[in-house]
Amino acid sequence: MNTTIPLTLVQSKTMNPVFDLGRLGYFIKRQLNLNLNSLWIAIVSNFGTMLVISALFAYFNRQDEEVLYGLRNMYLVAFSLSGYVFTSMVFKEMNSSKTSYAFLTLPVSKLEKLVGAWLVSAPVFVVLYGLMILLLAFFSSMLAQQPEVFPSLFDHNVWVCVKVYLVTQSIFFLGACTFNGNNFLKTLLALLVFAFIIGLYSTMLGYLLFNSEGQVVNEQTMNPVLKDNFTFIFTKIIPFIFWYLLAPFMLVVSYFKLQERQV
Amino acid sequence: MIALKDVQFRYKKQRPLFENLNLTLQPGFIYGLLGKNGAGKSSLLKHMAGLLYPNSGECRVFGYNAQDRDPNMLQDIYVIPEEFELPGINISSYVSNNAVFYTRFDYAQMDAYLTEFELPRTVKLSNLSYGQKKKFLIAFGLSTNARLLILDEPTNGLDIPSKSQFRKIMASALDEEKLIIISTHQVRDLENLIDNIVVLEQGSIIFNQNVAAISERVTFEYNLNGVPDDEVLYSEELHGRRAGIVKNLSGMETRVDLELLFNGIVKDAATINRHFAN
Repeated sequence: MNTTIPLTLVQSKTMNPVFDLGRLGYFIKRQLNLNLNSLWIAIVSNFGTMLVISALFAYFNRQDEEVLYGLRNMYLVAFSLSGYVFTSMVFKEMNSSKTSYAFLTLPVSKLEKLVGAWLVSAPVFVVLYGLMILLLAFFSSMLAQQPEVFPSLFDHNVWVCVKVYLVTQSIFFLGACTFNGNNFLKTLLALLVFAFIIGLYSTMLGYLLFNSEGQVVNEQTMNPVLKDNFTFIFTKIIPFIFWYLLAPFMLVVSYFKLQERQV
Repeated sequence: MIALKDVQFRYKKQRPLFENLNLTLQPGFIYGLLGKNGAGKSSLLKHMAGLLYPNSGECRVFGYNAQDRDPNMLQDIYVIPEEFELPGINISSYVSNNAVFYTRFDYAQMDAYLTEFELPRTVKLSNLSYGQKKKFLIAFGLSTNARLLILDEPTNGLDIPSKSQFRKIMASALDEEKLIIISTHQVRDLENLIDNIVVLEQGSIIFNQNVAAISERVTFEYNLNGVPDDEVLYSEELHGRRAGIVKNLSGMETRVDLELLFNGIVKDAATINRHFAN
């Protein structure tokens, strides 16, 4: 036994109750090790499937540059979807009635649990999946006999996709903290309901403002002040909320969800 | 020390489980938490571990508010629930990944418990039998040297030799700093192990006494023929005879029959408590 279990690091008797980098490191290591088997299965099946699809498309469409871009787009879609599913499962231990006690009584603070889970599901996931995409893109461009296309596959669109993922995954992160089981599907449903409510509200508002007396609204007939307001809202306010406020807000709400969590 | 003050709790859409529940538990003792199904034993243990929050009142564990789940408090608590699932990794990996969070974790102690329980170190935890998994959690929990050890039905699934090993290990693990709470239906498994008996009935503590005091104040008779009625606190039919709890007028310590005591308390706690209060 003593030969197989590494010696523990010497720790102080009193711990910082809010945040401790060492404890965060142990927590991330624990989460990865406890889920190593399922992680490997997910990585290998994901990589294998995309490798086969890439090989078939690249081999039968040699010299066709567009196919390589198409494959790249497929990788990005798979990246986002896998990321959302993975994020939804990041608190799997907490969401099962038979394991939640172990997660919730683990001597790790709520902030460390939040930061640890976010690091694994956002930056670590992006780096690992990015490496996978790199390998797949390299393999495809070689098989398609167009190695010169390989660098141009990683253009501005890829970085936009990564940025969009880093923002939107926070919604699934909140879903992982909130729901008990089937977190991915429940988050999707919640998003659909939310979109439906917003759509309904906007339609009703538009109807009340413009169309209740049969008024037709277009570029020419719209009040210039209202038009400026709309332009400002859609080009400044909404992008600002999306890029800078959405993810932090979701993470803060997730923290409170973790704090409220009971078995 | 654990102190529950005026705790009120109800599960959603259900009647209140705890109403102004007060309980203080001191270190240095093994407490047996007894109660019928649905009495609230597991819920009470979950409150102590910060896994459930009271609707009002407070639950303090070693000075911390349990629901804050402060890491300093959590490293002093280890919970072994009745129903659990262990990951598909071997014992060594589990220990190396989890022991680091407990500053007083003792690897040599863990090694000794694993040997005592004859647990294979290389087999995946998920492939062990329920009883072996339970023994592993008991070994790990004791090795953390947490000051509060909470065990919900710990002897369920243990074979006969393991039950006596369990009693031996638990008794040797106790020191003046530690507080062990064992919740169980199988009261016979805990005889000669627990120091204090706490009985929970419909969300209220209806009995809380030290075993030494019990053995001094009452005796357990298996044939009440000839015993004056005013000395009988509780009686029941047992194998065609009248057995029961009788006032101990001699003051000599007697063996405590937990099952009989529990039945008596559940049937007529007021009479028994009145006797202890006198």
